[in-house]
Amino acid sequence: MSSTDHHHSDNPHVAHHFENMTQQFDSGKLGMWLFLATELLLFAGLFCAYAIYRAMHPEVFLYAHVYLDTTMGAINTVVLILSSFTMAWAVRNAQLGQQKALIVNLSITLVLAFAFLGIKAVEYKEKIDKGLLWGTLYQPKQEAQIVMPAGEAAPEAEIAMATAEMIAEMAEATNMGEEQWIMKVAATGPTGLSRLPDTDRKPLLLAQPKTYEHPDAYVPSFFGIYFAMTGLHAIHVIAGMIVIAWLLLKSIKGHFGPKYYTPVDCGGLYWHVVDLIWIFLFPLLYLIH
Amino acid sequence: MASNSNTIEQNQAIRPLSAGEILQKEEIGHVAPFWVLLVVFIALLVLTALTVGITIFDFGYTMNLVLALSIATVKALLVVLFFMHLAYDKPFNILIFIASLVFIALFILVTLLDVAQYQPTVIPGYAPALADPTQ
Repeated sequence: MSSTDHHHSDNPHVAHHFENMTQQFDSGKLGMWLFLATELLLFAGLFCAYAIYRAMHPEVFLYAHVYLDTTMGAINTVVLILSSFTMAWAVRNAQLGQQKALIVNLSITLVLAFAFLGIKAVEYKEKIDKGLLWGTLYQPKQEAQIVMPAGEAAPEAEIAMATAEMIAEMAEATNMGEEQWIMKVAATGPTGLSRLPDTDRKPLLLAQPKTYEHPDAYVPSFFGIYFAMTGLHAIHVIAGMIVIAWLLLKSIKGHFGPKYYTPVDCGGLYWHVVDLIWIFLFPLLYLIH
Repeated sequence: MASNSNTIEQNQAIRPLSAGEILQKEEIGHVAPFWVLLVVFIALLVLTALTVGITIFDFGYTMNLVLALSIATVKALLVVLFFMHLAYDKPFNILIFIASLVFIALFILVTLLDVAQYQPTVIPGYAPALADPTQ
C-alpha cells in the first residue's frame, strides 16, 4: 500500500474523495438544498411580478381569474400532493431496501406527473381555443365571454358561457330584457377588452372599475403572468419527470438500497419543491376573490 | 469507481429492515415513519379542500388573500418539514432554506414598497388600488 493510498470505506458506493457514506450523503443533500434555494428564488421573480401587478390592478385579477377553471386547478393540486406522497414513500422504500415498493411508488409518481401535464394541456388548449393568450395575442372569441346578471358580481355558480342564443334564452326565461343580462362597458374603465367591442360581442365586467384616464387594459397582462408562471412550473414538472424516469430505470436494475439511496432522496426533494410551488400558485391564480 | 456488479446483492434486503435497524447499522439519514407520511398527506388534502371551500365566504379582499396565503403556508410547511425531512435534517440545510425565504421576502416586499411609493404619481390614476388609501 503506498502512502498516498486513501482509506476506502466499506461501502462500495462511497466515492474515493469522501471519508465515509455519511459525509458523501450529507454533501449530496447540502448541494441539493442549495440548488433548491436557487429554484425557489427563480420562481420568486415571477411571484414578484405577480405581486406588483396585483397590487396595482386588483380589479383586473378579480375580473380575469374567472376564465381559469378552478375545478381543474384543484384536481391538479390533489394530483401533485398525491405524487409528493408517493415520492416521499419511495424514498422510504429505498432507505429500507423495499425494491418492489420503490419501483411501484416511482411509477405512480411518474403517472401522476403525466396526469398533471395532461390536465394542464387541456386547460391551455381551452385558453388557445378561446383566444385568451398574452399580450397582443389576447383576442377573446365569442365563446370566451361570460354572462353575469347586471348589478353586483354574481357568485361563481351563476357564471355561464354566453352566446347570442343563450343570452336571448335567458332573457326570455327570466322575463328580463337582454340588456339586463349584459353589463355595460364603462366608458372610461381600465378593465375590459383590449379594443372597443364589436357589435356582435357583448363584453362584461365583473366589478365597477375605478375610473382613470389611461386607455390601456391589463387583462392581457394577467394572462401573460398566468402563462409565464404555470409554463415555467410545467417545464419544471417535465424536468422532474425525466429525473424520476431515470431513478425508475436505476431502481429496476436494483441500484438503490439502504447503503445508497441519495439520488432517490435528492430527486424526491426536487419533486417536493415542484409541489411546493404549485401549492402557492393555485390559490394565487385560481382562487382570487 | 464502485463495483456495480455487487449492487443488486448488497442492496437487496433479505427482509425489509425496520427503521431502528437501519439507524443502528449506518446512521446516514432519517427514515420517515410511514404513519407520519400518511398523516401529512391527509392533512394536505384537508387543507386543499379548506382552501377551495373557504372561497364561498367573503371576508373582504385583503382578508381573503391573507387567509389563502396562510393556508398555503401551512401546507408548504408540512411538505417541507415532513416530506422533505427538514424537521430531522442537519441544521445547516434548514438555514439554507430559511435564508432563501428571507431573500424572497426581501425581494417581493421591498419591490412592492418601491412600487407603492411612486406608481400612483408616474401616470395619474394609473394604479388606482395603490393610490386609494381606503382600499
